[in-house]
Amino acid sequence: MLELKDLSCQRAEQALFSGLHLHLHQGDCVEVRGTNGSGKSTLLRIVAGLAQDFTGEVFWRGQKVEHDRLTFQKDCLFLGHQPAIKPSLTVTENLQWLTALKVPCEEQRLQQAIAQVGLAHRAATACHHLSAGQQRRVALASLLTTACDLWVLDEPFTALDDQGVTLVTGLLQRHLQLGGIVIVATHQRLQGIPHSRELQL
Amino acid sequence: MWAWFHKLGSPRWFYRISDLCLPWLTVAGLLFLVVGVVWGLLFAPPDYKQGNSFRIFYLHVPTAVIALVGYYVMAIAGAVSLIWKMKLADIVMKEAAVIGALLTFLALFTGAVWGKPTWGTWWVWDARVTSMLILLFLYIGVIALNNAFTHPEQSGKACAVLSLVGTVNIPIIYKSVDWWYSLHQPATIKFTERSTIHPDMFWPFVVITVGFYVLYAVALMFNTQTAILEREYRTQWVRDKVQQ
Amino acid sequence: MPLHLLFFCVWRREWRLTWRNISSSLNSVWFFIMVCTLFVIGIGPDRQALAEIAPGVIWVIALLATMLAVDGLFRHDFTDGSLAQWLLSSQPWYFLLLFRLLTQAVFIALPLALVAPFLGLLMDLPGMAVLPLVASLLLGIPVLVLLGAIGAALTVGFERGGLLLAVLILPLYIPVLIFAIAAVQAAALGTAYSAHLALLATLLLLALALCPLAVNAALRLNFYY
Repeated sequence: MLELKDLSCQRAEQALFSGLHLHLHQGDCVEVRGTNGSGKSTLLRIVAGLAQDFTGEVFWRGQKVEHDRLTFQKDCLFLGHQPAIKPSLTVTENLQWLTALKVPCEEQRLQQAIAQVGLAHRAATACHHLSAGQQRRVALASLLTTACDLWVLDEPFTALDDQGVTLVTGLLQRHLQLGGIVIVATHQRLQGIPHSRELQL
Repeated sequence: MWAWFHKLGSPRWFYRISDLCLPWLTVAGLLFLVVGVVWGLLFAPPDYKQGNSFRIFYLHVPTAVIALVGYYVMAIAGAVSLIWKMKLADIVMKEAAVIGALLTFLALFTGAVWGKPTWGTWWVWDARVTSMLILLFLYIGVIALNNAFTHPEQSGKACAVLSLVGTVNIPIIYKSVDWWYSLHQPATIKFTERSTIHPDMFWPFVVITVGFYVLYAVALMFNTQTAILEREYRTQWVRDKVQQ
Repeated sequence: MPLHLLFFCVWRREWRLTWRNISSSLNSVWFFIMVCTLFVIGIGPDRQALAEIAPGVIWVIALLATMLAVDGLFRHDFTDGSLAQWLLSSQPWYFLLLFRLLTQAVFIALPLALVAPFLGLLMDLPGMAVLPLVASLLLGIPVLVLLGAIGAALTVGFERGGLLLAVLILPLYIPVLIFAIAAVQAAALGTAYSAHLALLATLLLLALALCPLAVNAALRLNFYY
């Protein structure tokens, strides 16, 4: 489904990575590893379609991504370092907006997702009252409401407690079972994902 | 055709070609300029109303024309670099901004020098002067934006967007300023109408204008060459060049 | 999602963000009033002199207030990651940006236009020029917001982009300023001003059609690396 062909990226003096090939099928998970500044985030931003300073091609469902960006963006969900949460909006409002940017869904499903990430009692609270970990959970809830096939996750465990880590692992397991694809950059090894591959940068 | 186009976009190829034509162009430009200036300043008849002070027009009008043309050179180079991601066009755009700003300033300055004996004041808020001043502001905007970024690719895209926005805006700005202040002389040279100036005064003007165009191209090429050396300092051919 | 629903979504979000930060949203209005006062103090309370310069002064200050309001248009979204989500949306980007800019244009123009009659009163602007002043602000400020958004998008990555923004976009503001002040001045003299307002409306339509393109390109280049 997702194929990276001959991906190279250069920063100032040195190459971050070059000649990178990757082929991902339904139910595949790739953990991107590397030291700080090794280009994990850059790779994810290239895949998601944000960064443009690279050579090589990205294919999605056999098509070059740049030919049909809209289809790709419908299928791909990117969660970056920042959770994209507006402090003055409530949990529900934030999630509603993040979902609407892809495909809008009913109120009931929003509330289900909020309950699943453990924020049911705070659904109507403005996000500036929430902790960093809770804000991260709101962003994670958008994984449940958007129904995207490809998840591109940059450090999803940041600011999460043990329960939160279990929660994310559970989300990943279910997504992979349903035939989704995950690319995740993380420092800690994923637990409980049997067939996950490792990509060392 | 496209192969040629992309070849032209390679800085190295441009460097070689411009190295070949620069001396010829410089000589030709200077020749035109010297002939035109000598003709215009020494042999052309004085204006019956303004006497000899009109002769600064031989410098003022070409600089003003090229200052405006330079904006379009910059914008077109910006569009090329944005669409075809051509590094050379990006460099040309940034150099065109600096040269254009200098020419605009020169046009304003020569205009002021002409205005003192003619209007009795250095500065008049007449439509053309005001438009020229705004053109200078537009150039300054592009230069300031270029300097604000640290990555050359990013600043190239940013400047290209800004100069394209400026291109759409320039006709509107000119029209509005014209309309704001219609107290100015009728345009002196219009190719659609019979020109109102004497042929003896006109021809040196054409020669000087051609000379200015050629020298503008020379300045742009030369600055682009320098910028290429700076930007491509990591490549082998630049290292070889510098060692020579 | 049908376009009218998308518009409603964008409108509702922008409205909530503006309303819940109402005190910072109103700062441009206070700026408008205070700088007008400074002008009167600087020039002196001569009613005739004030009436003469009122259209120009009020409009220039409204322009500066708009520019200051536009400066932060995308900066928070850039730092908190929202902007990346905007750009990766599967909704049509052109309309997403257009609706956002339109909404912001209304939110910025409306309070300034509502305050303007009182400032006209303070500066002894002739009564028959008040309505044209409001109309010119309602048509002109959205153009300034749309043009300013291009500058705001270009400078979104700089912590303190305000002055740079001014250098970039003030020259582009000149046509709007000229037509708008001409309308108010014509009205103050009792002559026809509808042509000037029509020109402003033309500029507005042109800006609505073209600015989202430039803003999109400008926003994307900030994610180049």
